[in-house]
Amino acid sequence: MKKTLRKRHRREKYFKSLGLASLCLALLFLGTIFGNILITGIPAFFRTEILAKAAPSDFLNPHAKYALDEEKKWMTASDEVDMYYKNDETGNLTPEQVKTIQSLEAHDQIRLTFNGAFLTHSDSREPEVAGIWGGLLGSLLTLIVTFLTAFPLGIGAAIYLEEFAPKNRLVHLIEANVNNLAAVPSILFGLLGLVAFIHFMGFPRPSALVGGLTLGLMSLPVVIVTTRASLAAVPYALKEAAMGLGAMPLQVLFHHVIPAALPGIVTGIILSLARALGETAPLLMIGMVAFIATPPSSILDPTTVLPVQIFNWSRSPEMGFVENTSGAILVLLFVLVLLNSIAITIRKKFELQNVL
Amino acid sequence: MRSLWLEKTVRFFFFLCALSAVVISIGIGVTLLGEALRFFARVSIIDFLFGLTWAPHTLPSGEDVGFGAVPLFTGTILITLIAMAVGLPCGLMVAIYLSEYATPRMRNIFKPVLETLAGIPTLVYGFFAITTLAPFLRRVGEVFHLSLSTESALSAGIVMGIMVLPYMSSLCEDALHRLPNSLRECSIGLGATASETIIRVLLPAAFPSIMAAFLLSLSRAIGETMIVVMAAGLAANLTFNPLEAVTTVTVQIVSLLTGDQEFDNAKTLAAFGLGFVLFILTFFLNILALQGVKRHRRIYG
Repeated sequence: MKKTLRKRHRREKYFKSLGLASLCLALLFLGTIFGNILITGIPAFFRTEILAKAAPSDFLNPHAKYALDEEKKWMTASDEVDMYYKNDETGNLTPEQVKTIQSLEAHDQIRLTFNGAFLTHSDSREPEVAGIWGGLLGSLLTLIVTFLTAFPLGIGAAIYLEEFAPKNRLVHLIEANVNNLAAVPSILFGLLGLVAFIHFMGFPRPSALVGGLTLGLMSLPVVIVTTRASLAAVPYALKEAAMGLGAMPLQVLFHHVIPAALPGIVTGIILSLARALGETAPLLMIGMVAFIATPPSSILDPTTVLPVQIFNWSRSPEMGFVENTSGAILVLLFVLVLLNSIAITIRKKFELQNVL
Repeated sequence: MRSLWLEKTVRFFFFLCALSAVVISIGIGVTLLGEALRFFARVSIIDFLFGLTWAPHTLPSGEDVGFGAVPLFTGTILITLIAMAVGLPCGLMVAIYLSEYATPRMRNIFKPVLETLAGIPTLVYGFFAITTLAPFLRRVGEVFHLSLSTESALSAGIVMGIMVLPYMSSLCEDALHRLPNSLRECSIGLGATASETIIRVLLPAAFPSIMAAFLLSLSRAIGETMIVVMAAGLAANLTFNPLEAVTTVTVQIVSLLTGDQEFDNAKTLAAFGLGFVLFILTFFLNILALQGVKRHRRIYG
């Protein structure tokens, strides 16, 4: 009896520690991913500069070279010098060049500065002057279109399904459809976007309009599901009270139900926009892979978005693009964390209100 | 009277919004089926589904050859299996721990952390696979005198497992948490330990939902694109060796459509054929999963 009991308790302990171990493993994964990207990404926010009068011209960035005669004291160094100075990676440098860099170092003629250009420049073939401004702007334009597509359609559909829908087969079909659509792989929305928006409607190919519409269709089911959940959470007594005072169903909806459900709805929208922001696969389908060096000025211009730019950089052979990729991922993750924490704050505040 | 008219119009507008979801589904189905049919007019469906070599090109005679998709299917299955082997047990154990053992404070800390893990774009996972995990696995492989290819199925699969983990754990956690407390109390009252309660009572009771979580994770892994595009490569090897490079359905869709953009050639149409297969597969997995969730809800409210 005692023996079996001890055995059972031991098994209990094993089981519990197995659970804890899996949790630790998950946290380890998260830590490794974040740590890794932080370590490789942070150097992207710094760049190497050389004192102009001391710099051999083959050490300078090709664009900086043309500016030599202007009165600029410090010039941007070339990719290879940059890599050597930051990570001690020799790359294609000859031993003499390495020696020159070391002598520059000894004379304080080479330095690291904050790379503001990484945030304000657009894409370039040269990693040391490439920046993410074009991608950021493109992502913003795309998300605006996504929002304008998914928000009205999603809210409308959710209101119908939650508040007005009769219980018939058509409504049942729509409900099953929304749930199913939420689990369709995103790449298939890209194929739909390619045929529907580009070949059928003839919208300009790598534009924010097409990208936004495609992502909007992709976000729609998620918006519907979260909006329905927050509409369903509104206490029925609120509706009854309003109806008892003689309000029309639409008045009940717009004056009482929607305001009460708004924080939940906004949270859902922000989270689905965050998901759309990180999405890449459907955008590759609609041709958003091109190299575009000018930031878009309208939603019809050829556009690149941040995730696609990251994808393109990650495939570039130049050493410098590795840290650029990590740097851009850092910016992307920062924006995502920002959006998520806004959503969580709204949710927390709303929960507090309910308690009071 | 005017407001009654308004009432009806607005309601109709909401109805149209709801209908748009159906229109999108039909749109996906019809476009995929339409283009896939055009593809099958050129390449026979038997050759496509059962052919063993994938090297799509058009002969000078105008014949389209090399559209045997079996290597893509086996590649997808291999990577998905690895992902499931990593993500499934870990996800389930994390869910059990958070739902049954963790203090409320721990839950409040770790649930958002797992949500963060779920919110990372898959592109980032892919980048992690090529820059960190693949070189690491190669080094480990060298110790055991195994040669891993840079784009091994193993690294893509493991990273995909990490991606699936938080998804699986949050679905399972919900399922376990929704079970009535009376189940736990009864079992513990009869003298069972916590782990016995979980294994013999709670898991069987939550089985339909856990199955659903499994199927949804599976469908997600099959449809996942960016991780495999970055980490798995293009080589269509017909192999079940996880140390070799394989390719998947989604990788080939991307590579077929980002190359030349002539809409009328067999290669572009093949992407829609593959997309159609993917759609059908994930569609059935999702339907099956949602059925499971529904059953569970009916039993335990």
